[in-house]
Amino acid sequence: MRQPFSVISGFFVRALLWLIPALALWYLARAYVAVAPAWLAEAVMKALFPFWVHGSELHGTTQTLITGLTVPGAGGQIGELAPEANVLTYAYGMPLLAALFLAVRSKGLWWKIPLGTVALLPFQAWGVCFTWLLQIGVRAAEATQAQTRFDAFDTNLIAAGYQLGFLLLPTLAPILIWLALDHRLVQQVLVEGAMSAGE
Amino acid sequence: MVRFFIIFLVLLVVLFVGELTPPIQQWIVVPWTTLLASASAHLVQTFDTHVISYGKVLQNARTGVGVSIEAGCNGIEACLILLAALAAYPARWQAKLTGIVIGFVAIQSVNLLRIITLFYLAGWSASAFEFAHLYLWQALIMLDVVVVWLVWMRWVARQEFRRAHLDASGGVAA
Repeated sequence: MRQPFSVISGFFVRALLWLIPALALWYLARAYVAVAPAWLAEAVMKALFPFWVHGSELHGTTQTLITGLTVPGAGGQIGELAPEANVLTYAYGMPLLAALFLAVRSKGLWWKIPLGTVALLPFQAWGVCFTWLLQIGVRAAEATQAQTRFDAFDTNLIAAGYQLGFLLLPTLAPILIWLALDHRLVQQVLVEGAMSAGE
Repeated sequence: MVRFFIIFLVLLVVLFVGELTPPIQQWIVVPWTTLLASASAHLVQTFDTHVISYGKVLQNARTGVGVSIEAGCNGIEACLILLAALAAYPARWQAKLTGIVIGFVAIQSVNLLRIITLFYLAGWSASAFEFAHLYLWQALIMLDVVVVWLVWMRWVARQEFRRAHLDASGGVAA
């Protein structure tokens, strides 16, 4: 007997219905959501550039990197560069991931959603780090080049890393993690496709 | 699955880096984005005659409120993800090509809806626009990519099963 809804349409409707409350909850908790990726981004920057990264400050969802890089300010004064990043811009994969798991009625939600959320952290930190690096190594290149020692190759790498972290990773990472942890839907779709061949 | 992931990721990085190069930006990305703005304006003009487009900007000529279609909002990255996913999946090239053409149309149709809704949200509420622009529509476009990919895989499975059945019964596959 033909089912009233295919596996895909059922998944799509449920994903939409779960995405709205998941996004709303995530947005309400945004100040807490930003803490883990902000911590990781600061740790990575401190480890990679210990000479000029002093730490970071998180206000709401905006994280400011505290650096020892000096830049000329207005009126000939010298200031320290403090690039900012909105952590939330790179963290919306979390509600999408939760909606996908819920939409496929995944078994073991209690461990898959927390594990998936942790697996998303490096991708979110990537976005934050490259947003800072873009401001330091590309936009303020003239003032910081002698201090950071970034060459042309580094600058291109930073620009590509930023684009990757802004345009692809926030949406792609949750899909890949979801598929890695639960590919039951893909199997169901393939079976449904083969079964429909005789119709 | 591991083979699919590896091919998909390698292809995606190659396509993405290619997209960022100046010739591709100049000859494909910018003209496509301009075309999107123009197509959005034509669609909106059927019910709102004050809307115009110039370059990659969609604007209300009366109020001055408008949106500029930037990288990430032209649907190209979503199409690249789909292209890499279809190419990485073990299927016949004819099926992949069909999926790429239909998938492109499906993603860009939803993207037109995104541009138009964001255009009206921008005129209504800055915070609603920001939420929909940065978070909601990003997730919805990716969900669209996943659904198109699943529908295509279902179709491929159906075609392959029919072909295998015909081969087994001594028939000729179409």
